[in-house]
Amino acid sequence: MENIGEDESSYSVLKVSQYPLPREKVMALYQHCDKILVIEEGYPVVEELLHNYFDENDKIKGKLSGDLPRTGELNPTIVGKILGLKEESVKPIPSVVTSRPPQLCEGCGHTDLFNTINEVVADLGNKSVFGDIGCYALGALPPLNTINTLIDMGASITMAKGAADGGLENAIAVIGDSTFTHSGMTGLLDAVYENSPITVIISDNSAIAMTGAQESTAVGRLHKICLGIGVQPEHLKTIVPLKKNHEQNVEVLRNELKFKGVSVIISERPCVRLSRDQKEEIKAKIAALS
Amino acid sequence: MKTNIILSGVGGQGILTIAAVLDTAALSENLFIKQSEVHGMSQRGGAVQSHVRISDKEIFSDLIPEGKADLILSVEPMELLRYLPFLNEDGWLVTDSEPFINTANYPDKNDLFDQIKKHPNNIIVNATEIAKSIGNSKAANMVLLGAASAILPLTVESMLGAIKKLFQHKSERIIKLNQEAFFEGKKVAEKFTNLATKK
Repeated sequence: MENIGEDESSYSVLKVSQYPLPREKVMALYQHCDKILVIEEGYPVVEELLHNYFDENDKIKGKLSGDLPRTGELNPTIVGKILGLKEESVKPIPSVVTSRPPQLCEGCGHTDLFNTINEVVADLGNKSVFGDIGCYALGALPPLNTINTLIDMGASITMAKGAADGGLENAIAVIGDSTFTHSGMTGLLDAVYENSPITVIISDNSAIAMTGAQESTAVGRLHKICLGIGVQPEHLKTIVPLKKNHEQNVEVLRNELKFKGVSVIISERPCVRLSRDQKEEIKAKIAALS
Repeated sequence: MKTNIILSGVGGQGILTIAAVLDTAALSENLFIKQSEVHGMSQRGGAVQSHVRISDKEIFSDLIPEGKADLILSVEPMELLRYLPFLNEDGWLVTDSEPFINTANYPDKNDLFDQIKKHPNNIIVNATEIAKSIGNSKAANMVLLGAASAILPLTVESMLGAIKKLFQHKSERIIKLNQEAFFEGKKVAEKFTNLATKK
């Protein structure tokens, strides 16, 4: 509509925002037109349905026919092109402009943790760090480049376990506190049950940071959960990821990697996005639980 | 009348606050408005953009087609250039001169200014400095809104009213600070004579 404006005379337009499709209207449009262009966001659902209705007729154009791109968002520029409208002469982005990917906040505890892991991993020579979903997924990208494999929530532990069971040495899982209580605990139980040689690092910032620092159900409960699952107390360690603790933290990680069973290292430092009041509330909650 | 505006900058610079002022002011003038935005992970120092469309007639797309923006208003000079393909032939570029450097390969800012100055209708304002001088560098976004005010299809009164409404929950002092920032920006932009003749 952006492209054809108020001049609807040259196109027959049917707006569909329901399922099942309005059969009579679709039939009327089909009989009236030489060609139907289906413009829809996401998966080409309507286009596929029309192909079914009209026996794979090539009158139907859209994403499946390759006329519109399958990936990315649609916008008036893309749709204007396929309608064959005059293209604006567009100024290019000057080559001096560089990309600006998102990154961890200044002073974030995850950064110090990744620096610790990087130092340890550099000597190991293998790519054995499995990541998870949260702000710390940014550890897969430059400048940190710590995480080697990343799929979905909870998979850091199960991937590390699978790889370790398959023979990978020094498998490390990095998972946040809230992702751990969301879907990391089940994997940890499996690893303990089969005594898989993995080191799980729970990067505990006491918040669901990535989505805006909501309350984490893990607050004050991580140690008890790990012990309850069966992690051996002598292989449940706590570190504070600060520059001044770097050497000490490197030692803790090195030692736990030597252990051929399940180790859990809880890396504790509150998210920098938490307000003073939120931090006080967290402290009170931890005190009440211990 | 239809005005297409692209707002840009880095997460946390107040881009969406500018959008909210424009939206609120346009609604108070009974105009049509469509606004969309890209943020999310950009909170972590990534690029943020918002498309704002204001018209006295119905607006269809919430995205501005390439080559159709009348104004790119940016809180950061490199982010301004990122959206250049959207600018129309005689569109305006308004930006803060203060770079936000959080990447290793950030270009020399003079190279950025050279590119911006290739376009006749540009206003480069040291909005961060101006905002700092009146009490809070965070108000740079309102300085820029003021600097662009002559290009916008909205009255100064409705924009000031929108600022008041949006900062009402904070304090009278914050409202005044932002309104002052707006005026300072407006004053600076009046030096650009070709802008003064535009309206």
